[in-house]
Formats: sequence, C-alpha cells, structure tokens
Amino acid sequence: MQSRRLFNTTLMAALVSPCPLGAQGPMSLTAARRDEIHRLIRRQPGESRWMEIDWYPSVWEARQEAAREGKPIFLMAGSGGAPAAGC
Amino acid sequence: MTRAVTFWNDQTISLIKENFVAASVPTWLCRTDSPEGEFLRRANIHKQWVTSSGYMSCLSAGGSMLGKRPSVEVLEQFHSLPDAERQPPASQIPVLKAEQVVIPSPPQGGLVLRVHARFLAREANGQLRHATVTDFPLMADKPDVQRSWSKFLQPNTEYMWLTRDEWRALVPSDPRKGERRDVDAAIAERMARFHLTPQRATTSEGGITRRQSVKEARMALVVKENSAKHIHMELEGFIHWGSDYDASKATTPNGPLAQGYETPIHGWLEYDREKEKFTRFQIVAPGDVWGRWGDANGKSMYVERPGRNPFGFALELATGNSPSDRIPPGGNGHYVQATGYFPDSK
Repeated sequence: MQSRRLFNTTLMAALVSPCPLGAQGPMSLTAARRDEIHRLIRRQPGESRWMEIDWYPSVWEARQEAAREGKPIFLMAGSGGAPAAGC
Repeated sequence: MTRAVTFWNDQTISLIKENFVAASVPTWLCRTDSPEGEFLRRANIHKQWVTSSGYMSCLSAGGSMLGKRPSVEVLEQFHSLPDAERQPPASQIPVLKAEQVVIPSPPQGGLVLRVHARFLAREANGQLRHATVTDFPLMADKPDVQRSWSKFLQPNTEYMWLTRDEWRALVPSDPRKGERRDVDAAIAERMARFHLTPQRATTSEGGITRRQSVKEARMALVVKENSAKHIHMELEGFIHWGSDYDASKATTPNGPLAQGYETPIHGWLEYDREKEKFTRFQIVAPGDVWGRWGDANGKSMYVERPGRNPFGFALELATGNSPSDRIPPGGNGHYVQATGYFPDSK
C-alpha cells in the first residue's frame, strides 16, 4: 500500500505541467492529457523506421506474394520476429 | 544489430518498399517440421539462423539464396534467375492446410491492438518527455554504447490479440450512462504478462511476466455516452507486476531489487452500434519501472536506471491495412500457443 501511495504521488507529480491535473488524481486523467501522453509514446516521424515497411508474418505468405509480384523476399528473423519485437 | 538506426535510412526504406516483399519471423521457424521450415532449410537458412538474434536473408520465391541485406546487387542477382525461380506458378505455393500453419493468425473475428512501448524520463517539474541516452548513467561517457543503444529509445511496436468473444463481452447489452463494469480478468492479466513489460523495448526474449509475478491487474469500463449509434466508454485500471518499489534497493548497476512495474491504465473506447465494431480503442499506460534489467547473463543492461523511472505504453486499434498488423503478440507465435496467452492455451 505504501508503494501504491508513493506511486500515485509520483505519477501525480509526473503529470503536472503544462497540463496540470489539479486534485483529480491519476484515475481521472483528463482526455486531453491522456491523448497527449498517448501521442508522446507513439512513434514520431523518423523514428523506428523499420515500421514503415509492410511485414508479412509468415514466410509462406511472403513467398506467395513475391511470386505474384515478381519480387525477391527479404526476411528479418529474430527471437520474436524481428524487428517488430526487438532483437 | 537488427535495428541499427543507420541501416534504416531513406534509401534502404525505398529499396525495400519498391523492390522486395518483406517478412518478419522468429528464427525457430527454420527448424520446424512444416512447409515453411522445409523451404527455408532447402535454402540453407538454418545454417545462418543459428541463434535467436536478428538475421537478414534475401531469397527468391523459388528458394534461391540471394544474399543477406537487401541491396542493388541482390536485385541484380534476382533478375538473373530463370523465370521459374523468380515467379514460380501459384500451384507450387498452395494455400497451407490448417495443420501445416506454424505462425498463428489473429483469432477469427478478433480484435488486434498495436502496442507501442517507450522509455520516458521525468523533468524536474514532473513533465514527462522522451528518454535520451544521457538519462542512463550506465551509458555515461560511453559514446559507442550511446550510439548503439539509442535505437532502443525509439518506440517498439508489437500486437495484442482479443478473441471475438472477449471484445464482444466489453460491449454492454443495455448500456446506461455511468454504468461501470469490470473487464474480464484474463484480459487484464494478458496485458500485464505479455504486453506491459518494459523488456519489450529491447528484446522479446524474456518479455513474458510469470503469472505468479502479477500482483494486481484490474480494469473496468465506464459508459460515458450512449446513443442509438455509439457507445463511448472510459477504461480505467491498474497493473503491478514484479517487486515492490524500495528506493534503498533500487540501485544500479547490479542492485539487489528485482524488476517491478506499476501503471495506471487510462483508455477511451468507441463502439459503433450500427457497424457492430469498435472504431476507437485507445489506451495509455504511463507507468514506472524499477530494479534490475538483466541481460542473458544477469548483468545490468545499459538501460537500467537507479530509482523508479517512467516507461509508457500506448495501445491503439490496428487498422489491418498492413500485413504487419497480423504479426503475433511479441512477434512470436509461441507466445500464443504455449504460454497461456489465451485462457484455453497452456
């Protein structure tokens, strides 16, 4: 519980200025502030540019599409289907 | 490094978008007993993809290996191939039977959310901002490390799946303004275990939180507006997994406190009653992470910071306009099939 109180206090501090929450508390984040934080977290132009590519989730689908289009296949492979989930 | 920032420039992006068909898959695919595994082994890819780290490979639809990174030289080699290698007939690449499919697709009629994860920092006045390499003391005075790790400070995106029954259960049958209903605990737990894990920013390995580590995962929906056409609902909740925060132990490097993450959940959902589908599903989790960020050997990673530090997630409805929206959660089909992602899986 002490941890929770500390968290709420910290979060309140984090969300102050330039859109102060006043006494609303973190569970009643204003719509404007919620949208602002959402935008802050999402990809900005020029970031994570690998996400500008359309990635097929399976080799077979990519193979079918490559055959249709007459294009080569580019595979990125990692522990979690790089680059969509890191290395 | 798969996400080397210098690789992903205008020239490379254009080259790939205009000339290649791209796929993003886990390395274990090449070792599966499946048509995809056999295809990759015939191209000897299994001899390249020997670990779980990132690899790049270019090949033709017929299975000819063309090289690693996409390049003009790879394209030239491709165009020198016989027609049958470049464009094999559709009969040679038939639609797979259900039992041959290794990479799972989103549930039939289900809902897909994009999950963006990002390191944040807090100004002295409390304002949240994007984290930069100078926010991480373990990178201080190490320009090569800062350059290498800067890519992980850009948001990483993966995908959360809900079944048709799950998302339909979020829609009240007789909505009344102010009505508050708990969200299925399985959805909150899924979000805590598989998606709201800051490790997602650096790797998918180890990016699953054990069920026993989830201390709290609750969400509720409140009807804010209701009309014949739309239902607008606010989502609120709280998630805590891992250790309890202890400032005296949240030290770095190699401090004694295990990792923990706590976040409020704020969301805004809009349901179109005529089209019978969600048209907005926006969630933000502006949480704090603390404790150890261990690498594969348990050594503190460069992104570990002392104290508690902001790390945020933003979820939004996937449009389905890109095949990327069908990449499995965590980029890895095993998460769905063998880890209890859905209540009826292991």
